[in-house]
Amino acid sequence: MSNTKLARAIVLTLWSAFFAYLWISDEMVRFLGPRTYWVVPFGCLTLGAAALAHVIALRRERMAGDKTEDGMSRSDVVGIAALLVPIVAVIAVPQAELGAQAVSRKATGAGATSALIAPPEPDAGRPPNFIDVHYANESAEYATALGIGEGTPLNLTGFVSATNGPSEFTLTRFYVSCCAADAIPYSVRVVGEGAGYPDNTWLQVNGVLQSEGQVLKLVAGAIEEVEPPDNPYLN
Amino acid sequence: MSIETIPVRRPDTRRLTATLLTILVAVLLIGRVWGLEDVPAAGTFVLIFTSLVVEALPFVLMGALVSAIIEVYVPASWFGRVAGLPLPVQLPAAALGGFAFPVCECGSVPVARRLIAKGMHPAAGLAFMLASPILNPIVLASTWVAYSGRGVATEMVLGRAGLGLILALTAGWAIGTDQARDLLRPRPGEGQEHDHAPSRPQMKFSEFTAHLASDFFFMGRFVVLGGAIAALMQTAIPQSIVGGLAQTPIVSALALMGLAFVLSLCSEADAFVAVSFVQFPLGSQLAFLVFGPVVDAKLALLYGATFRRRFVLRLVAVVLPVTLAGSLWFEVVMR
Repeated sequence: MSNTKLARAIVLTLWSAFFAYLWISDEMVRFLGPRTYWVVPFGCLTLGAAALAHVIALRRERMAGDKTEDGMSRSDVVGIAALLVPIVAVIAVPQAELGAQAVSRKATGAGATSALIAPPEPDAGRPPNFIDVHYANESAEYATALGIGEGTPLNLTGFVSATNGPSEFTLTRFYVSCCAADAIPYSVRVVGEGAGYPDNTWLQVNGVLQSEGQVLKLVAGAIEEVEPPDNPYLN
Repeated sequence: MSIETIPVRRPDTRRLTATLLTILVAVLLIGRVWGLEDVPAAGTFVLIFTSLVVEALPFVLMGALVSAIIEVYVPASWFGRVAGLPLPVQLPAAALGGFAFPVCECGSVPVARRLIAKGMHPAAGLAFMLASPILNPIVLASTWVAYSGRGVATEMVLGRAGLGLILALTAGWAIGTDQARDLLRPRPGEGQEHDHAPSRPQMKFSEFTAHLASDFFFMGRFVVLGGAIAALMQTAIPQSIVGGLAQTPIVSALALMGLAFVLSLCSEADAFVAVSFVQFPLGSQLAFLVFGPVVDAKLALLYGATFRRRFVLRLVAVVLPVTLAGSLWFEVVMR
């Protein structure tokens, strides 16, 4: 049994170390939303404690003279290898991110912009963001409460998720509640000379909103290519 | 132990170990050398897959922890007394126990398995397993927060709790008629190393860690596999394909139940996704919130490993019509 216990202790330690890495490096913001950040330190400590408990049990067995060295069963080997897969995947694709491809899969409903969460309380004191523009497009009442509409200045940072023509593209940012699996894309159409950035390029766009029928578009005054922010999501 | 145990065969697994390690190293090298992160679908898949596993594993560990405590530290006489209670008392008590067990579905499966194996009536164990991911306070609180902006928070929380409770009781009663040994799938080696009752604290601790790790690694592999399937489906299938079904009453509920199966979301997060389906009626959103925590791609694998053949089919055969009927009734009430 000791080989199995030793292998399990190693895998538990690896997972605890992986959680510690996510915690210390702040990389957890790429995988989880604010509601579940606590899972990372919790996982680090509990998995570490489980690994330690395993080591203690193993040591006690050895001190008690238990020299049993039976091999691992197939089930043990498969279980242990399976739990290594996510760690290997993260090392193999270290900068994995949700980009234009994910937007094309995650956009819900009829139309590219109908992914919604419950609207935030309108607060005219803060600068409008992707979510506000989205709700302003859905509800004139919301737009009025927030004071946004034709001519409102807007400064957004997001990534290019689609190119709609020589001078128009879609700027998007995801909202994540618990983990990347529940990510919801929020998009704003941007009109600007010199558009034509490749998908997934992070841009900071300054401009003013302009109505086109029922839809508010951002007419860019300045477009600047920027590094992806530390937290790529809207939270 | 009232479930069947099967002996452990210890074949030479060195070749299997070497093969699996080679595959893992090959995947790692292919990813780094060939630049998989430049392939957008690979990035989407890895991020969703890993985030699902990272979010679920601590809960699996907590479930395994509770399961190991039940096995090693709770006296058998306690389960004897519980098993002696009439089913009409056990069943609702177990389902309502979900209110006090704040873990998601990944944690409730090993606990339910252990409770049934220790003597709780299978119907009651199943009712607990199905109720806890819907009724636990964190899930209900997140549902309330998600729907508060739509002004229907109270209705959705009551609808989810009520339908979840009815579902757990109905499914437990309908499926839990089997004996434990006919319901639970035996595991290699289980029961052999602890047929004796460990008495010394050191022996108990050793048993405890053995059970903890056994459950964690057993359930963990299915969380990994289920997470991979869910991530693959999220990467490949556009969610917008269900959008066209939103206005047809029964079909819209079925479409969101199908989506809940595909997405395999944690029940503590699913309300924030459900509320985004604004083109679907509230009844269909409720179907998403009740069906998903009970039947999804990740859980189907976990159930398949925990219970005997056809359990998943039997579960779907009960859960689907109950959820559908409940969600339609909710829709009528909300109009």
